[in-house]
Amino acid sequence: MFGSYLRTLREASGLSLRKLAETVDVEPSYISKVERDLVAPPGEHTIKKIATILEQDPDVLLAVAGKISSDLRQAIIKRPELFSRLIRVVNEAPDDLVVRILEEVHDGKW
Amino acid sequence: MESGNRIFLDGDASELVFSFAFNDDENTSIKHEARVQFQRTLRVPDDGVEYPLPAGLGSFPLLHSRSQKLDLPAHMKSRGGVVFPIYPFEAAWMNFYCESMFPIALRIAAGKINAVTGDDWSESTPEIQDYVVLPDQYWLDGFNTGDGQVRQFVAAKLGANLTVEEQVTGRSEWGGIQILAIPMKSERYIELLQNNHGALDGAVMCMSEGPECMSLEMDMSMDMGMGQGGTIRQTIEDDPYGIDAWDFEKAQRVFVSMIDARAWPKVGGEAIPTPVTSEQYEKEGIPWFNLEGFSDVPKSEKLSKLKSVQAGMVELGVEVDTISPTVTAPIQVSRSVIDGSW
Repeated sequence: MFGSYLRTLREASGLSLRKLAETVDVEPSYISKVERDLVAPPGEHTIKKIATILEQDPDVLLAVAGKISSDLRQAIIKRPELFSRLIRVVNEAPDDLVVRILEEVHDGKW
Repeated sequence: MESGNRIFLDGDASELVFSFAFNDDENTSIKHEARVQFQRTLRVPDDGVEYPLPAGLGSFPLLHSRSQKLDLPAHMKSRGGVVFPIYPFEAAWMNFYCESMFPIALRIAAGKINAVTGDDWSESTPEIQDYVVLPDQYWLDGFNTGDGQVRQFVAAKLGANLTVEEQVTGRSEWGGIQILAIPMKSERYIELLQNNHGALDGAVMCMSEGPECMSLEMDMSMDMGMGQGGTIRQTIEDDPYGIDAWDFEKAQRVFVSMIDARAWPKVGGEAIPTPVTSEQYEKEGIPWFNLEGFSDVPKSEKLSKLKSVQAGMVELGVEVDTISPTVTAPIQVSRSVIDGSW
């Protein structure tokens, strides 16, 4: 799943397997195995580097690999009750409502 | 009207949306929205000539004032709302539109001075109309000076006594633009629908010399306010529904801060192009527009006797453009928003 997704992205960007491996600083054979889903997806650090090179949202690429960015994990661990409630509340909400919540303009003192 | 009213950014952060949830007579919840864009435009000369409406040249980018991406001064963050960059002496107009015919009134102020009456900011029910009514009002290009004319919104840095706020109050305290969105009372809207046999309920897209200045003790070196520019032909439409039609208890407000575009990248924003000049406007053949209005609100005496930004520009030795509008496009319902090559 992650492998085929990565391959599609890489080919769409016109980057060779060798060039991607070189930029990410891993062996080409490793990327080849990842793209064929013969090995587990790379770690967070490598996925974030790949995302940068392929101009992708790192959170999305991590999610495809079944991972969550360590900063998000830390945020939840730091305030577990609040973030658990938040995620559960918005989990069932339609996308457009979630976007509106994110883009909501807050009033201040004036 | 029910809870669920909110203000948010949309349209790739170019639109400020005031959303009101409304329960119709069959208890179906419907959302009605008023959308506001701040358009970049040509600053018309202040030479006693009445100008037609200059075109929109793209919208100012809106960001949340409390965005983590921006390193804004504390006073700007504390006001909440949104912020956009604008150059000193750059002109702007406000584009309004809504997706239904549900009437929403917008009380608009600059530096907390009402742009229709020149009075101080208030959130209560007024005695006279001090707001514009959507969807009837498509645009607002400036301060109400009556007789079908407005004086163009032109940005100026606070502290030079060029903004309307400074000239009216003698203080450089707020700057920016403030908006209070007031929905029509539910019962009045239902009555309106019944009188029109539902005809209004369709999803219709309508494109719609002063006292000395006193600066306060906070870093307001980047704060911009609105002063008065040249004269533009524009009607501020009379409220056809009456003041008691509006539900001020359900009103929502927002503070729109304005920051000197030259300082914008320093606080984390993306640089914006410099304003179009008269020469570029003419060379590109960008048209002008005329929209005949119906019935104007009364003239604001307070707003009709203020010093213009251009007078300040002359004092500062800033070059003042001239232009002769030769192409005028009469329009009935929409005004082109043109993205120029500048």
